[in-house]
Formats: sequence, structure tokens, C-alpha cells
Amino acid sequence: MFHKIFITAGVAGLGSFIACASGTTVRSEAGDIGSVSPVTADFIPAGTTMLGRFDQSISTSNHDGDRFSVAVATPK
Amino acid sequence: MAIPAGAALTGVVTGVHSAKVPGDRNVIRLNVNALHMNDRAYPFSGNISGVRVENASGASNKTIRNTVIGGAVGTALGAIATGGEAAGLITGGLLGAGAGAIISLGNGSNEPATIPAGSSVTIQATQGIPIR
Repeated sequence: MFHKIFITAGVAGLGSFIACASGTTVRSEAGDIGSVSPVTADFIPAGTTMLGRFDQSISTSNHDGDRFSVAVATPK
Repeated sequence: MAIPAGAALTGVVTGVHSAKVPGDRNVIRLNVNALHMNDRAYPFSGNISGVRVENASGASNKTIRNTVIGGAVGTALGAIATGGEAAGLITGGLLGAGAGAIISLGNGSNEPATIPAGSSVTIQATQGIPIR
């Protein structure tokens, strides 16, 4: 009986580990983008989506080489 | 959280075409190349995947992300031209070769050819960024 409980708990734990290790699937309105690792304190993974707002107007009166900036509101 | 409040992305205009005649397209290409946070700048590789163009009156706002509907990308404010559509703009001579997302700003003088300050934008990193 004890062995059955132990094995069941072990299988459940392994399943949780695999689920975590598989990362996070990023989805957008255009469909699935892919599986990425979560943002951590020291790494922003490929696939991270950020929402922001333009700090200045940009128009067809701009020229090649003009710089612009976007204030990041939040990673999505 | 690795991306704190106050973080900013910066980039450069890499192409502009202003409509010369009615029906011609207004397009602009923007390349985001740096992430600024914690008083440091990090090289950034990514794509603009959506722009919500909000004009002064709040009218005619449209958000289209990586979608070309019936080849009519030129008439959709904020639409991102990709694939064959983007290639067509380059081979058609509207833009030279270059990096960045091509954003439609409407046709001719019927639509505003401006992304006003405060317009929202969605940007996706294509390469991981180690934070030192």
C-alpha cells in the first residue's frame, strides 16, 4: 500500500516537472507563436511580447535614420 | 520581473514612402534595435507585430496584426506588411531594402499618414536578451 502511494506521488511529481520544463506557449491573434521560457530576473527570452506606446508622432514626413522611442507598458 | 516600469524600446526609421497621387500608399518602416532599462541599453532584435493607429478624432482606428486581408493592406491603418506584400513594396520601388516592420498609413490623402504620439504598439523579441 505504501509503495503504491509512493509511486503514484512520484509519477504525479514527474508530470508536473515535465509540464514546467516544457515552457509556455505564446499565442497571439495570428495564432501560436511558439514555446518560450518565462521572463526571469536575468533573461528576457525570445518570443517575449511587449506592449508600449510611441513617445512621439511618426509620419511619412520622417526620414531614414530618424530615431523613435516606445515606452514599454508591460510584457504581455 | 525582468522588464521594470520605465523601460523603453528605441529604434530607427528605415524607410518612408509618402503618397504622391490619390490611391498611392503611405508606408513607413520602423526597426526597433535597443531596450533601455535600469540605466542600461541592451541590443534588441524583434518585430513590431501590431500598431494601433489612433488619430486625433479617435475615428477610423483599426488594429491589424500580421494580417493581410485580400491584399488590401495598403488601405488599413497600422497594418503590418509581411511576406510577399512587403517584398512587393520593395520591388515596386516604394521602399529600399532594409530591416524593420513596414507599417501602412493609408492611401493618398484620404487617411492620415501619421502614427500619433501615444499610439499603442506590440513588439515581440526574436532573440533572448541576457540582463547583466
